[in-house]
Amino acid sequence: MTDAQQFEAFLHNYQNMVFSTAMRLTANQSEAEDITQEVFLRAYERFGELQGSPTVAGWLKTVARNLSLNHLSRYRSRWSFFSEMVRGDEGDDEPGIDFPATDDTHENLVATDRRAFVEQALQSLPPSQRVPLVLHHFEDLQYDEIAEKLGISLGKVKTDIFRGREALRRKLHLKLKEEEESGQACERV
Amino acid sequence: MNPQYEKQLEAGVRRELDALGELPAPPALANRILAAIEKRATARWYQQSWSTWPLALRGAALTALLLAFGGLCFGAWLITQGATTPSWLANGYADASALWRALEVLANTAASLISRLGVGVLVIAAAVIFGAWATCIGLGTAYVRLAMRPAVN
Repeated sequence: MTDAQQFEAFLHNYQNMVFSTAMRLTANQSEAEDITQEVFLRAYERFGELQGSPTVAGWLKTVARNLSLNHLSRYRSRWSFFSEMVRGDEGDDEPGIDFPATDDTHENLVATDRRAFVEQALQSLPPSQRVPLVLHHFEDLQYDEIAEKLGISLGKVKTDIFRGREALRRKLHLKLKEEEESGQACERV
Repeated sequence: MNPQYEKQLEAGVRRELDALGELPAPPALANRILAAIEKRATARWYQQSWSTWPLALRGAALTALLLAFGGLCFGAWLITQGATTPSWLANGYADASALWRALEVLANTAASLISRLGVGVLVIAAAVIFGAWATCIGLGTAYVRLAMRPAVN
């Protein structure tokens, strides 16, 4: 196998992982594609070191995450004024997708449709909620690490993640144990 | 916030997000990346970033830049020391001085005009400028919120 073929195989192995990281953080396909390209251009320059390294996936993920966050922060100053005007919990009142059945939505949805639905709901969150949520759930960063990376307070990270989860719950029509119990109690009454 | 509810919310959302897996990259992306690598690899050395230039060329470029900078500093020092300057440089300096004098006259005229207008006119002018600025921001915000709202379907 030539070097070019090896790199092509490497690219095919990891492109989904890198693209997913960039896509979930930026919520923009063309930006995610640009970031993925940049990650692999950097990887190509160091392919000799990366090839066969056990930490290659981690390296790619870290570069993708940092480039995505750099990209977001580059445009943050331009956008923050407008985005701060949007209520922090914006989107919570937006109606979710209406499915024919309400109670057993989970069962009626094919798994792939469900995943696409969740992915879309995640990407429709405002950046202030989506970015910390993605960093916590997909990048396994702790709250304090997220606060440091985003340059915001720990309290704001906690609030944004809570609001993000709450917005997702509404968009996905998620029923939590507590609600189910109260619903059953109402039915009994 | 109810801690019990928060735990349940976290678990519920985590369950949904854990089931997501990786997003498939667009099929054309791999070819686009390979084409970009090919393009970069075939570019001439001077079209690539400085850090990828051959060591000798990097050294030569750095030396040339340092010499140019040193020459500029030395030239400026000579002028301040009153050294005889070449006629082309003296002419350029005279032109620059004339331009500076014209700008100075304009600035003085503007300053005297403003001082004669009075505070009331200045306040009104500032209010008009602020109003125009606020209108632009308001229209921009409306555009961002309405036109660029993420689609939910």
